Amino acid sequence: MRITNKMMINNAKYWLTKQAERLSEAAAVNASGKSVNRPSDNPEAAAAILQFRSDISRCTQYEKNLTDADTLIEAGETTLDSVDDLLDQALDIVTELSNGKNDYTGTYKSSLTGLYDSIIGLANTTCSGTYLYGGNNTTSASFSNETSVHSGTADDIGFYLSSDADATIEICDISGSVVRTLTVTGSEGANEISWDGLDDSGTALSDGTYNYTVTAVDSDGDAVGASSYYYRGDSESREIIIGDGTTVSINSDGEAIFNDALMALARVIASFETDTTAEAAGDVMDLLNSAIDTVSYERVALSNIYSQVDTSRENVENLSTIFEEKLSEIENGNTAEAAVELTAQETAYEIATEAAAKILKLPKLSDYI
Amino acid sequence: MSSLSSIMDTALSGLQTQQVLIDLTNSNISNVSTDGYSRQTAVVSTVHSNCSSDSGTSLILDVTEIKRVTDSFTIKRLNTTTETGGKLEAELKYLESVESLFDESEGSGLSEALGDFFNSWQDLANNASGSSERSVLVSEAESLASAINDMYSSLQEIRIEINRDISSTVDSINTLTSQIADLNNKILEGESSGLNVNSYLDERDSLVTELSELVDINYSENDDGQIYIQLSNGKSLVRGSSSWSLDTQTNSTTGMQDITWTDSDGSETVVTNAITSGTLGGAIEVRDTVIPEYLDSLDELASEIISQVNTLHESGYDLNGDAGLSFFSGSDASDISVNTAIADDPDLIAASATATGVPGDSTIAASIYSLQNASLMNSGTSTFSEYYSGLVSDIGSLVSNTESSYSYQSDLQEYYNNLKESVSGVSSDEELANLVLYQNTFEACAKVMSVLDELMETLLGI
Repeated sequence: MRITNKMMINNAKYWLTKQAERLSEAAAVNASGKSVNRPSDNPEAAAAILQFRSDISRCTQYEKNLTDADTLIEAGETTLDSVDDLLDQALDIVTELSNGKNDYTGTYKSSLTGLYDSIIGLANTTCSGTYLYGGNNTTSASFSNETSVHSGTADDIGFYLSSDADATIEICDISGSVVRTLTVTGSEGANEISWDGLDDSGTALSDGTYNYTVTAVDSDGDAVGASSYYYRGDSESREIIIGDGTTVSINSDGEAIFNDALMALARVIASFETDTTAEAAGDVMDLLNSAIDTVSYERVALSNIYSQVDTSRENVENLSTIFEEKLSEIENGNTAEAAVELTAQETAYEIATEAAAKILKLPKLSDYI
Repeated sequence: MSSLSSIMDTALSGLQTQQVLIDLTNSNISNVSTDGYSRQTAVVSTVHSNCSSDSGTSLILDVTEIKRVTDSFTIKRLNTTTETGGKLEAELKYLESVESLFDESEGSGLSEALGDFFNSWQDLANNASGSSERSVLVSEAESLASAINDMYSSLQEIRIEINRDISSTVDSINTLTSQIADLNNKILEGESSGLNVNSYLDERDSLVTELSELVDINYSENDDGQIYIQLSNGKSLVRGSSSWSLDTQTNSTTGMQDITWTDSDGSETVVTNAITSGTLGGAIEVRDTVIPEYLDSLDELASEIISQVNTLHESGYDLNGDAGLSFFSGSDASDISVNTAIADDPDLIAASATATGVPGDSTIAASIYSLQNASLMNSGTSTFSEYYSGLVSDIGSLVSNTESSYSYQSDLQEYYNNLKESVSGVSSDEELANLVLYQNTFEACAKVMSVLDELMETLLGI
C-alpha cells in the first residue's frame, strides 16, 4: 500500500480524536462519581436505578405511614390510660358508697359528673385535626349532646338509657335556658327521636345549635341511667398501609370503647336520685369493672398493633437500606476500577499524542537533497 | 541512419517532455494537502516522427495524456459507507437529545413525579379529611401531569427541529446536484476541446461524496464521462447537465415536511419514504418512526393513568358526600391535567368509597395508591413505573447501539478514505524522487544538445 503524508496525518488526527473521546468518558465517570451518567451508558442499569429509586420512595412512604400509625397508637394509648385512671377513681367512689358512707353524696355526685365529663372529653380526643374515636366521622365531635334546627327542621335527638324508661329531654339554647321539654318513652340502649323544632309555646325556634339533657324514670318511679352524649360516628376503624399488602386497622369505634364507661357512670349518677344507692352500688360496680375490661382489652389490642408496626418498621428500614446499597452499587460503579480506567486512558492518550508528534517530525526526502 | 537534425529533434522532445513532467510534479507537490485532489501522472510514449529539417525520421517523446490516479471501486465503497455514516451521525445527534429528556441520573423527572403522586394518595389515605394532604395531592398530581406534558411537548419540539433541519438539508442537496450537473457540462465541453478536466473530475467526485452523506443515491458514469444520479427509487437527480431539485411541502395530516420530487412535466411525487439513508434518511427515521413510538408510549402511559385513576375516583365520594368527578381531564400525554374543579377545591377529591363513609373513609384513596403496584401496562405485565423504566432503558439501548454502529461506520469510513488516499494521494517523497529523475534526464538531454552543437561546429570547420 502506498502511504502518503496526508494519510499519516489523517490517521494521527483520527486516533487522537478517538482517544480524547475515551479519555473524556473515563474522566466523566470519575468526576461525577457515577458509572451511569446517561441511559445509554448502561441501559439495563438505568432501568434498575429507576426501579430502585421507586422502591426507595415506596419505603420512605411506608416509613411515613408507620410514623402516622405510631402517632395514632400513642395518642390512643395515652387517652385510654387516662380513661382507665378515671374509671378507677369512679370504682373507688362506688366502693365507698357501697360501704354505706352516704354523708357526702353531694360531693360524690359532682365528682362522678366530673368523671363523666372528662371521659366525654377523652372520647372526643383529636389527633392532627381528626377525631380519634368517631369511625369515619373524623371532622366533628364523636360524642355530643347537640341538636340543630335549620330552616324549620330539627335534627334527631339521640341518647342512651340503662333500661326501659320514660325520658324527659330538656332542650336549651346557647344561653342555657330551657326552650323546650319533651317527654318520650325510651328503651334500654340507644334511642333516637325526632322532634318538630318548636319551643314549648309552639313557636318555631330560630336556626342554630341547641344542647339537650336527658333524665329518665322507670315504671317504679326510680331514676334510670341516662347519657345524653350520643355517638355520632360509625363502627369503621382507621386503616393504615404499612407494607406491600399489609394493613393495620386501628379501632376508632368510640361507641364500643366508651359507652360501657359512660353508661356505668350515668347509672351511678342516676342512683343518687333515688334512695337505693347502696343496693345499686353492686350492679354499678359490675358495670364499671366491665367498662375497665373493655378499655384494657382495647389497650392490649393497641399494644399488639404497636409491635406489628415495630416489626414492619424494622423490615421497611432494612429493605430501604438494601435498596440504597444496591442503588449506589449500580449507580456509582466501582471507583477503583474507574480510577484505573482513567489512568489507562491517560496513558493511551499520551501515546497517541506522542505518535502524532513523531509523524509530524518525520524526516522528508527534501531534507537530504 | 539518423541525421544530426533528427538527433536534435529527439533531444528537444526529451527536454520538452521533462518540462511537462516537472510542471506536473510541481502541481502534485503544491496539492499535497488539498482535499479531493488526485495525483496526476503523464503518459509518455515514444513515437517515430518526420524530421523537421530533412526527409529522415526521428524518435521523439510525446506526452499523450495527463491521467488522474483514482479507483472508482474505492470511491464507490467510500460513498456507501459515508451514506450510512451520515445516517447514523444524524440519528445519534437527534437520539441523544431524546435521551436527555429521559435522563434521570440526577434523580428528578417523570419517574419521581409518578412515585410522589401515588405517595400523596397514600398520605390522603392515612388522613382522608386532612386539607393539607388534599392540597399536596393536587400539587403532586399537577407536577405529574406537567412532567408528562413537558416530556411530550419536548419530544414534539425535537421533531419540529428535525423538520427544520430536513428543509435545510434538502436545500444543500439541491445546491450539490446543480453543481454536479454544472461540472458534468464543463467536463463535456472541456474534453471535446481537449483541455485537462482533471480538476473538474476531482471536484465532482468530492461533491458526489458530499451528496452521499446527505441522501442515499445510486450513480453511474456514462461512456462520455457524464455522471447520472438517482434516488434509491429511481427518480433522477442529475442526468448530464440537467438536475432535478427536491422540494418540501407540509403534510396536512402530520404537519411535518414531506419531500417531493418534481418531474419535468411539473408533476410532484412524494419521495419521503424512499429516502432511507444519509443525513436526510436518519432525520426522517427519527422524526417519523422513533419519536412517534415514544410519543405513543407516553400516550399509553398517560391514558392508562387517566382511566385507572378516574374509574376509581368516579366510584368514590368527595368531602361533600357527592359522587367523585373525573380526577384527571384530558385523554393522553399531550393534554393530561388535573380536573380544574378539583384543583380549585381539593375537597372534591373523592377518598371515600361510600357517601356515608365521608369524611373519614379512605378506601378509594388507598385503592388509587395501590394502582402503583398493579401490573396494568404491557397487557398486565408491568407497573406504571416499570413501564417507564422500560422506556428509559429502551432509549438507552437505542442510543448505545447507534453509538457503536456509528463508531464502526466511521472506522470503516476512515479505512476507505485511507484507501482512496493511498491510491490518489500525493506523496511528497515520491514526487521529489521523480523530480530528481526528471532533472537528471533534462540535464542529460541538454548535454546531448551541447554535444550536437560541437559536432555541427566540427562539420562546419572542415
